[in-house]
Amino acid sequence: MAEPAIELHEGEDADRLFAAVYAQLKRMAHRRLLDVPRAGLDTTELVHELYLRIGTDSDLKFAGQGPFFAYAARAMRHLLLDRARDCLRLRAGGAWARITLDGEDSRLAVESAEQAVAIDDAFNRLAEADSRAARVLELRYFAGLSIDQVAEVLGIAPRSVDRDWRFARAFLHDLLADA
Amino acid sequence: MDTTPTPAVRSLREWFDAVLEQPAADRARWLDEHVSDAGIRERVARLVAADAAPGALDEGAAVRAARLDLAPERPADELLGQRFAGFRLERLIGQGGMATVFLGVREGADFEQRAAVKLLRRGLYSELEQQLFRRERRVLASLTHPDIARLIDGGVTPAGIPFLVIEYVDGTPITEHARTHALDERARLALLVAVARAVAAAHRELVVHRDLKPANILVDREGRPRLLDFGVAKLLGDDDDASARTGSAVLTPAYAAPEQLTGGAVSTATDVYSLGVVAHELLLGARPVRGDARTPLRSDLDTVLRKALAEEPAHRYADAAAFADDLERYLESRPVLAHPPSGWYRARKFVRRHRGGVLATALLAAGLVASLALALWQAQEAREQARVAQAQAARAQEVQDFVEGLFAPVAQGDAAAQAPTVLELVERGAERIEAEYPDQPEVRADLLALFARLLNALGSSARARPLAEAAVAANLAAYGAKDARSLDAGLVHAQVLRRLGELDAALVELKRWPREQFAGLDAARIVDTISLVRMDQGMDGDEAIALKRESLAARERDPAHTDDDLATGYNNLGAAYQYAGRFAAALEWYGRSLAINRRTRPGSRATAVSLMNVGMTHGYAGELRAAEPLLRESLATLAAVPLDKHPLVVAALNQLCWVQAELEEFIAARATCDRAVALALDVVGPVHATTIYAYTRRANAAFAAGRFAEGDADLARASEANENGTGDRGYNDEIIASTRLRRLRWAGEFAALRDAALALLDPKRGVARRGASPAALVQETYAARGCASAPAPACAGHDAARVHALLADPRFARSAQRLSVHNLLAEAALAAGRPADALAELEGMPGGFADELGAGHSQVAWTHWLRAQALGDAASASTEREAARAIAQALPAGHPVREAILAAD
Repeated sequence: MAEPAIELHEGEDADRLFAAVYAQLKRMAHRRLLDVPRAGLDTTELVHELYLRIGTDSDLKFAGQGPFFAYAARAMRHLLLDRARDCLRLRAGGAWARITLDGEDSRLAVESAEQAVAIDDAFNRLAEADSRAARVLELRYFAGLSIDQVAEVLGIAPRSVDRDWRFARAFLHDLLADA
Repeated sequence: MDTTPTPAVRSLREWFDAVLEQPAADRARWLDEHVSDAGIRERVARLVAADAAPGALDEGAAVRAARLDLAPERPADELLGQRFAGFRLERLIGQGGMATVFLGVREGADFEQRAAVKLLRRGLYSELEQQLFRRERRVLASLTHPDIARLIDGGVTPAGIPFLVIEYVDGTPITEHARTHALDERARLALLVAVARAVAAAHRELVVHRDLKPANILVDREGRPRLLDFGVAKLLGDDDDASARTGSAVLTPAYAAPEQLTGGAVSTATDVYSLGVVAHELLLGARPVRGDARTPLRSDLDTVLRKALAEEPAHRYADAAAFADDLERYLESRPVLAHPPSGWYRARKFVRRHRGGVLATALLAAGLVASLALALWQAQEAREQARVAQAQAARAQEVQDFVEGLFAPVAQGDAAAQAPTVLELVERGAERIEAEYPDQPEVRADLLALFARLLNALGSSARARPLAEAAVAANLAAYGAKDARSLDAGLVHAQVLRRLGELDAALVELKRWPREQFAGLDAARIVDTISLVRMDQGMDGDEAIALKRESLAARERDPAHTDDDLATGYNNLGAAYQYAGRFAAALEWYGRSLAINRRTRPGSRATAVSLMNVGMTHGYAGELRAAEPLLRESLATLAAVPLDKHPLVVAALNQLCWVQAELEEFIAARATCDRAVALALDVVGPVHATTIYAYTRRANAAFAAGRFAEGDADLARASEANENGTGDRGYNDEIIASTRLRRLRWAGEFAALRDAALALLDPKRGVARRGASPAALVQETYAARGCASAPAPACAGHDAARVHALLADPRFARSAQRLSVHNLLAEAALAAGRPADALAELEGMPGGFADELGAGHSQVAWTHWLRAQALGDAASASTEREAARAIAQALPAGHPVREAILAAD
């Protein structure tokens, strides 16, 4: 099987690219939260908007859309995990945290945070077991790409992407059920 | 990198792919037939099941991220190490929907101060928003109570990040504390009382918490409650009325009062509800079921909780102090006020506490007098009543027998169903005096004077009259014409007559007591009473000043005079100067009185009255900025006395309502005015002049904020109350009509404005002393404005020139009202097609008024806008227009100035 076209480049440049994408995503995710009802937040739209914004930054050069989506997916994965950790740390943070973390919203947030951490753990195990399925899951779930888009980015057949996705999804859900 | 599955998983993955090729119904059987390894078979089966079932990944990553979005706009780690007001952010201690909280440390040469530094999520980017934030913060900073976490500092960084530095509290939520320490009911109640007292201290400053809940009520290691985040919910609210934002992040539904959930007005009663929920949780282990206030607690405690948790704010304790009082009464086994007003209950408890000679009769009489004084305060009468009460002490036994006799039927249980009111008791006593003491002229004389005074203070002047007449005769017969006790009776009689409006008869009575025949302080009381009557007759200012100078001199001459006597004299002279419209001199004398009172009687009612007088005089002089803090301090002092339900409190609230409305502190004004109306209804009832005045002040505040429907409704209430009341209708009508002027102007009803203003200025209507009163200035200005757009014959003489003549009076020299007066005159000039006159009118405006009123004040915008109109096509017009627009945009929606300026875009 061919090396996927989107493998991240290690090194300083990649760090800088990732940092930029992550920072932008963070800003956007927060801002959009304020004006879009939560249920209406669409990962695909968010990442697309991220692409448009990043694209206007002449300092950042991606080798193409594919590499960009790889960065975006990883950024989203980190964002989720960071937020989940913040959220859980707050819950353990004593009285001050309770001032602002109270009621139904916080219960949902805490549950969601615990799940997000579990998702990340399971993702890492999947990456060890089946790295291509993990990459598909990353692009599909964290970057919101369609089966066809993932196929295009990874240069593999949509049918393979579909199988990878179904396996990855079942693999994670199975682990989450155990968690 | 290897992208193929590892061998161990490979078979899993291969089996998974293969089984999915099979029809769904056949998969289980297919696995049984093809996979020999039971472990692998089971795992594949689970994956197949997981494939078919919904799961966590079906929800988009962005939706999940949004739910987890408790992170601040600025990542916390970026902020670590930064300094806010000298505090270096050490570590994150909390993060939530509205703010991020850090532990901040400030280091000095030999100290290290820790604090919670709270960065608000929402940036305040406009200068106006920041001003509002700073103003509110100053109020919070003034909250100093040992049980309230202190606001140390705060501000807005150049980047627009608002932050608060709050005392760091190391404690656990009250519910958790009670649980872990296994506190019994008494200990829990005592804790609740302490919490309610702390909340009450804030209520005295008119600060409402809005988000009381266990997480905000910590108990430290010494077992002391510490309240967090006072008023922060309000700071975080982001529009005119944060309470209207239902579901906003700033309240916690489980502890929120019904009015917070429905967007009603937030008041001190809102906090009472939340405290009630906390109390319920603390005493019963669970929060109450909404709408069902039944509790399995013992009856009195149950009653207290029910009252705190009433759906209607008006049915709750008015503030935390009242709630704390009742909890304390319960703890001390005294009757709670929340008890349903069964007459028997009240009388039984009252008699039980006062029976048996435990208290000397003089104290009983003084107590009775004091409670009457609380019920209906009359200027300076309290002091005199205390003197009377002391005089009665000489004949304590008779009076004791007499007063206890009044309660006898109740004490013996005969009158179980019908407990008498205080008025009924006093009336019953008055009826019995003649019958019971035919042979004891001195006791009879004392009692007649006492009961005449009480009835008059209770508002029953007509009934008091025959008693007062009899008291004068009896005292003259018993003690002679030169005795202070006889004088007391004569002064009571004069007061009764004055109250009945028989002013000439009152002066005749006063002439019977030549002041030169009495000692200094008594002479002063004669002069003071004369001046009260003459004031009602509309004497001119110079006469008032002369009379009060005379009474002050009499006090000073009296060798027995105290500082307090002097304070009273200074105060009265200040009142005379105020009456005369000489505000600067009034402030000087009131100031002297205040200085003495602060020194000798800090935290007393006298000090509160002094503060109110100084504040009100600043208000009359149009020095609004100076007035507000004094009125606030007066209210805080009254509450500390404690006088929570008292006409004085209503008076102070009414003044503050007006000042805040004119300063366009819309949020604060609304809370103050609501409280004034609610308290007026509670204390003096629905048709009293004070209540009518409160309605008009609230209407004025609503008009100032552009909420016309609300203001109209209040004026309608005021009119209806005036119809049904027994007070001075003409005077109340005048206030109502005067309040409506602003409304008519913004409605563009200039003919009606003209007629209303001219009617108010009709010399047949007002009293002679009107002259250059602040009300007259406003009315003349509106008359000129109405006449400019709707000329009429009656307008003759009511023009800008007359207003300018009034403005020249020194009393208006520093009045912030000048700005709106000039604006209205400029409008009038524009309406008459004289833009040059309009420009001349606005010369130098807004000038210093932008500081006095605030740069965001609608009148400042209006000055710019009118000048732009007057300039027409001139290039400078657009600068003015822009300045006007910038301010107008920040005014509340519906504000007429905002609408007018923005509509022109």
